[in-house]
Amino acid sequence: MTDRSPLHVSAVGVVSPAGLGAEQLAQLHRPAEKEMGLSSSPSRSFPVFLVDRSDPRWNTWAAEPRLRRAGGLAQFLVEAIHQVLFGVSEQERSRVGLIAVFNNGSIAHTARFFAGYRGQGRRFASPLFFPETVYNAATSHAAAVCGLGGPTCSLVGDESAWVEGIRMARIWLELGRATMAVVAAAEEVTSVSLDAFHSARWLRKSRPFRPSEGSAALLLTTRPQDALFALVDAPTSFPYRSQEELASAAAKLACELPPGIPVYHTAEASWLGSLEKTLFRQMPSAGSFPYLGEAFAVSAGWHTIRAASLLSERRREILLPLWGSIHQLSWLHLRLAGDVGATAANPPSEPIQ
Amino acid sequence: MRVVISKRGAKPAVAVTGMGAVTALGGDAFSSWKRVLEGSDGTRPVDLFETEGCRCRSAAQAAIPLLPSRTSAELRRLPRTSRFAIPAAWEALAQADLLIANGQAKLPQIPLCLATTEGGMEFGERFLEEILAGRKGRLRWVGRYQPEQQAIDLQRCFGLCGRSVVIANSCSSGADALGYAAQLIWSGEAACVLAGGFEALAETVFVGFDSLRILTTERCAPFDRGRSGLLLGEGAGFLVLESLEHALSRRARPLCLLTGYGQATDRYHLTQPSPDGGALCQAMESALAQAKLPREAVGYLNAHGTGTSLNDEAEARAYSRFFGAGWQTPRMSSTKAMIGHALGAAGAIEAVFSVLALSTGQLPPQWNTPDPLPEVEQALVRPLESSRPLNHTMSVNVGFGGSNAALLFSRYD
Repeated sequence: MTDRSPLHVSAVGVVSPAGLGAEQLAQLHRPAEKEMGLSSSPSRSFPVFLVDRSDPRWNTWAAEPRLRRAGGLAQFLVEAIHQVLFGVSEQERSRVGLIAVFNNGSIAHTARFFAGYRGQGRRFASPLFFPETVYNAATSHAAAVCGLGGPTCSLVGDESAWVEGIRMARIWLELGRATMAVVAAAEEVTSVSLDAFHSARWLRKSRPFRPSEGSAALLLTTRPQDALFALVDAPTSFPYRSQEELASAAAKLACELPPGIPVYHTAEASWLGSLEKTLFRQMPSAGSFPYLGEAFAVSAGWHTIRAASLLSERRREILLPLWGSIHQLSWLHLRLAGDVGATAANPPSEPIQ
Repeated sequence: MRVVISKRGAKPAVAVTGMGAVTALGGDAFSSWKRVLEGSDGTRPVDLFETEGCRCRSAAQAAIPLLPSRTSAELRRLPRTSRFAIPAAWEALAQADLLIANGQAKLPQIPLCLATTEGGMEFGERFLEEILAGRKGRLRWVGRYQPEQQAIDLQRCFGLCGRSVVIANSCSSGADALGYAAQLIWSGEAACVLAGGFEALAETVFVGFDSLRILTTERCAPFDRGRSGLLLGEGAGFLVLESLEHALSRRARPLCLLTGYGQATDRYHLTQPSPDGGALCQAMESALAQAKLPREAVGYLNAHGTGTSLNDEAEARAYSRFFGAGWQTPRMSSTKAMIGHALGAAGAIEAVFSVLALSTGQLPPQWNTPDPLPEVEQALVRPLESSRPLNHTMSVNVGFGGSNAALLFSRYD
């Protein structure tokens, strides 16, 4: 089922608790786990993974007029997109499309706006904060700051929305709506989002879930020249709401994956880890990286970039299951650049290890 | 001028085979349409939440349609948005003959392309209320707040098991969801898609618009010189889109074709449109180019027309630039004067009206605009204007963040 047109990834961008840039993602150089308190009970704290905002490179974006009222979410998004657009001319940017994916979105601004008008009265609600509460505010800022002139779209969803974003990019490129497309995701950990995870019982000691933040971006084209790697999006995703539905959706996903291709494990440290292990025990493993916490589509982006770094002459393809934490499961098929014609049914000359 | 379809090797034509809507004027597409034509006003005092302290205290608040197949316990768990989305989607699927007797979808794999700007915001507000009071927020609020949950509500209701995508491009979201659904079909990615938008009035959004001082305390008067702001609304709109070949193979009756979708981003400002309306012109141009149609082919244009000072001025200027000074065709109106601005649902509801205009030849008048802006004066549909055969209609939306979208619908004979 992976006989679809591949997309070529010509640049990647990363903001993560490990640092700025894809190189930092390969390995954690210092302990990234920190503690954050709940809004409702600040003395009660939980371990989280946070981006180091003391890095002087953030000053550039803090000084950007368009971002003066935007929070970390927009800054993370802009930085990752800025990274992938290095070397892309102004003229080329006029035909670059942008798809940005969020899950919690600008919940920090929403909570601040809500607390403001509930505390001080509706007549004193801040007109400065409200526009930043909108899901696509960060996308709009990013398009403006990075000078992108193609179509833009904001998607809301969990890890599976990363795949939906890549699918949308492929369609835009196929239909000629853009000459290149950036798919990016951003997420910010706030004490309010921590409250939400706490309410959802995701922070119980028995669950290894750790909230994380940052961003990830891919620059996608249909041209194989200068590609870092190629990828194909899953033909479908599998929705679920309950635990029973999740098990059934996961089984369907496992059945759909082409056999014989190494699987990059993305759920090892999450609550879905045991399910992933059970489902893929018969399939070769492509390995995994140190845990960086969960940031929904951002995590999916990090997994994509980390898994791609494992592609080599000896491992030309990798399957990347993406376990949506909230409503959908999906997957990606990564291939070595210049090797896009190969499939499990039509393997490349060297055997897959 | 007719659209050429079914050329060998060409992109598949996209047929509209079902539509549904819930608005402040009715619990289904036809009753909403009838009351839009009559000039009924959906404005009423908001009683969903406290508005004390706001300048504006009215909105186009909709009544929740009955969902007979649901128990009261199930209904309590659904956010208001889902209670609009489900009946509108039901109406669309039923018209497309895609429901079996028990209300389940005949094609369970069909993907969903959905649009909203706030999801189940009233649940999010209850959660924020609890944590602000220093209590642990309840799972029932946080668990059903996010827009993905409304996707699951729809999937559960109709027994759908395909993928879903939720688009949040502010006020153009609904049009973008329909446009992306068409792109899925044009690219061969899907044969049939259920697409639409939904939105419910919520205190935070209402207070937010009020804080920006863009809500009117008078009648909403799009494109009028004396306009004083927008009227917030709520509801849902859905279309069933499928490749023409797919529709004909299952003997479904196409209502019309979706022949063009244009999208462009205005980078001028987060909340203000560029005064020249360049991105809007680009979106309309792109939609027409896709259908290979000239500008004069459009017979009716459902404009965004919110009634705010900046939007309507920029929009009127864009139309004047695009269709020429003193333009009279296409005939144009903004139906937000009666149903309000339903944000993420607006583009989908207005697309339903554009399809209805195309199929009936009736033109929704521009109500509440006695003193129109000169750029659009000649083009606004007047009350009692006679119906006429239309070959193509366009629906246009503009959103916060600079999202501009245009959908083009064409007659199918």
